[in-house]
Amino acid sequence: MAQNTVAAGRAWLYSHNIGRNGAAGMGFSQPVSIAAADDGVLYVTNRATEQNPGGIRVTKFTVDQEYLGEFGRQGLAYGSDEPTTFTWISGVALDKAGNVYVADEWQCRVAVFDADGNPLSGWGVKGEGEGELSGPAGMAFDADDNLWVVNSFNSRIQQFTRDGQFISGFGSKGEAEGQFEMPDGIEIDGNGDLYIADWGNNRVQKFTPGGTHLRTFSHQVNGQDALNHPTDVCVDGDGDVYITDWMNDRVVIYDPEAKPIAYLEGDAVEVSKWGQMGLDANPDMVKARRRVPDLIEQQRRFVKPAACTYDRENNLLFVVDTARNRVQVYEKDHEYMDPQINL
Amino acid sequence: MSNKEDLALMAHLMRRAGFGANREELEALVAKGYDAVVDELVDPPADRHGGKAELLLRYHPGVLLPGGNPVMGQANWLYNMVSTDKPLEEKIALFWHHVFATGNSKLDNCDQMLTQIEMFRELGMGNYQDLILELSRNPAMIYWLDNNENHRDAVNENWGRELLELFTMGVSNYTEVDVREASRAFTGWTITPKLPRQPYGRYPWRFEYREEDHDFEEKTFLGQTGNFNGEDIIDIVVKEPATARFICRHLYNFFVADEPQVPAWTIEPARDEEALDAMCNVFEESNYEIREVLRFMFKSEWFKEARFSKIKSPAEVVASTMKMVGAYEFPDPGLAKICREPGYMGQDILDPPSVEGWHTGSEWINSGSLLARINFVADNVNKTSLPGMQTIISHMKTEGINTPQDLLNSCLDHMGFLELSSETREQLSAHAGAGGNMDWSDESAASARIAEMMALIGATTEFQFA
Repeated sequence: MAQNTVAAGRAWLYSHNIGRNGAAGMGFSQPVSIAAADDGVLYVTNRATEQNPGGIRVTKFTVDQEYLGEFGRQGLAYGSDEPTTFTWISGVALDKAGNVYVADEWQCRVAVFDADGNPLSGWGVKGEGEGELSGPAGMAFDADDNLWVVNSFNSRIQQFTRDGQFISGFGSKGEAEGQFEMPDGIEIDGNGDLYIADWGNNRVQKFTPGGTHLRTFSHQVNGQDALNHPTDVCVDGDGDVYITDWMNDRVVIYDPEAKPIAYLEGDAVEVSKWGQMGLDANPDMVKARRRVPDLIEQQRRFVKPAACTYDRENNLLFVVDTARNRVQVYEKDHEYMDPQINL
Repeated sequence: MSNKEDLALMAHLMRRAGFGANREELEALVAKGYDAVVDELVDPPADRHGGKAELLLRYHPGVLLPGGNPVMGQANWLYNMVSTDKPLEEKIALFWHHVFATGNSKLDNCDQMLTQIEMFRELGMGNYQDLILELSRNPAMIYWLDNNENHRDAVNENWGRELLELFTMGVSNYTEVDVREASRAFTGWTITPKLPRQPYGRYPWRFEYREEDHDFEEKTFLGQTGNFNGEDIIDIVVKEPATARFICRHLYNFFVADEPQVPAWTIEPARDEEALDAMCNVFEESNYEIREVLRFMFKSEWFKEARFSKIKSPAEVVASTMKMVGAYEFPDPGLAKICREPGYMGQDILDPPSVEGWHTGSEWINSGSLLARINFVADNVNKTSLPGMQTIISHMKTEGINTPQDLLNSCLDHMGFLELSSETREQLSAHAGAGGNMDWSDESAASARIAEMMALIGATTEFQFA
């Protein structure tokens, strides 16, 4: 059971986990995206299920496991003042004012809320043309407060103003360098370069904002792609790159030169605060847990982690552990020195 | 262009060994040759991946671990039936789900049901002895038939009885003492303590053999005496001629032609004793390889002649209709709604009515289920913008379908080269005739006529047969 994952000059120390299984309130329902504000506030979008669409929402909480509320059960449709519900809630991103932008991958629109979850506006035109949305998945704001949106269905990456005016875009469907196969998550590093999780091609690609390909993050093990349908990517202040290797139930960490340096498998050895509240109300669950000899080994692991984000101020990595309805938090020690061998 | 008889035969094979195939697929399969297609079905090439699991999970992550929510579990399996490129693997899983019927009603854990179905995909066409041994260790089955309550000092006979009655030999081939002795041999075959569903959802159940809870005393089973464990019981029982007959009759009933219901098998002769004997020979001579029995069965003349001699199960009606109209090539929203349709027709997949499974054949049909079948087909063929319907319409236009007879015949072909009784044909011809010749200058009206005719065909007795 590894609670610390080490690579040359750095270590990732497991901190804690946040969440529990829950269709409302203090819990998550198939969380698929995450955004971190500067003040330790986090937003998670919950895809939920068609069987229980009431669980589709945005959950707002803090890194210290304080539940702040939920919103987005009703966003605003483009061109309409009438509220509508999300179908496939997907990416979430925060502008400099702290407003929350939430994509709907099926309805092909972006709904905008203030930080308290009050709906402000909505935009997006469904279509395959320039400036149109086709399966909007991951989203990220750049330094100029413009929003980059990943079109998963037609493999386009597009830049918009905050009110949805198209600025630029690049990408097409395919396997070649600079092409994508149903891309998903996006990250923008400190230099303004873009990282795109190229889901169907088992890789992450790095670009300039102009769309020039810079680097590909992928490697092979025994002749097979090591990444299996990566869903999201984030980058820390040192340039290390974190990829949610979704179908392999892990996070792969690459150094800035795209060399794989470490893997995270999940370390949720303890029950989260919200989870403990649920257990306290169900003493039989507590008793049943005592019967399980390898409880921690089972409990700690990621299952289909779909998203991640990195808080560069506080050096915290947040991994959305989708099928376990929680977020696992790691702290990076980026001045890590190995101890002496003979201790 | 293949000839119609070859296409009709291939349509028959694909209805039985899968969930149907459209005209384009049939043409390609006929070009490969019938026997080669059978070989590919029973031994899928390595580059086939099965259902589009990644696509489904990306857009519907809730179907991965649906827990106690049977609908999302059903959505998972139905999407696999529709999207798979290894159709017989999915069909054999449905077959074993009929025979080794395990249900969410007791498990309250669709994760485990889906794990069992995955096991059927992997082992369902393999060696029967391996399959039944794995079934004995399958956590869902252990919990379903109470083998976790089968202890050295307190025997529970549920698993031991059903193993003999429903999963291997069938009734009248063993005694109550054999049931007791088999059950003793499976004491200690249990599951590990489960990590409870709170706070992070359910975790996989796992098999565990507890030696300290196993009865190591001597047992006498089917005339043999020894210190038997579960493996020995399976080794003895798979060699019984009654097992070959029971499993092959199940295969015949599911893939070839409707037999009487299982409880009647001890008194009702098989529909085709000669065919059944031949299947039993292959089963035994191949050392219980299900794949070889399937290969032999699909290539036999009696299979080829058995067209429209069994009533489609609800899962077949729904999955084959979805494939025909081209619904859910992509896992669009709405899966949770459509996956309930087999249940409305009498077959809640992942939740059979009892360990006996579903009664098949004419028992699929009652006034309610028939209406559900007819309405489902009508609703779907009326979605003329779906890609499968678009292909059918465009094919008819290219072929120059003109007269009412052309329209009827072409619809029948596109729905699987169906054959009608003269009475049904007369009625449908009269209806088609009332609309006159096709007017392709109004494509929308032409499409509507095609959809209407297909809906009417979907309402015939003949369409209910596979």
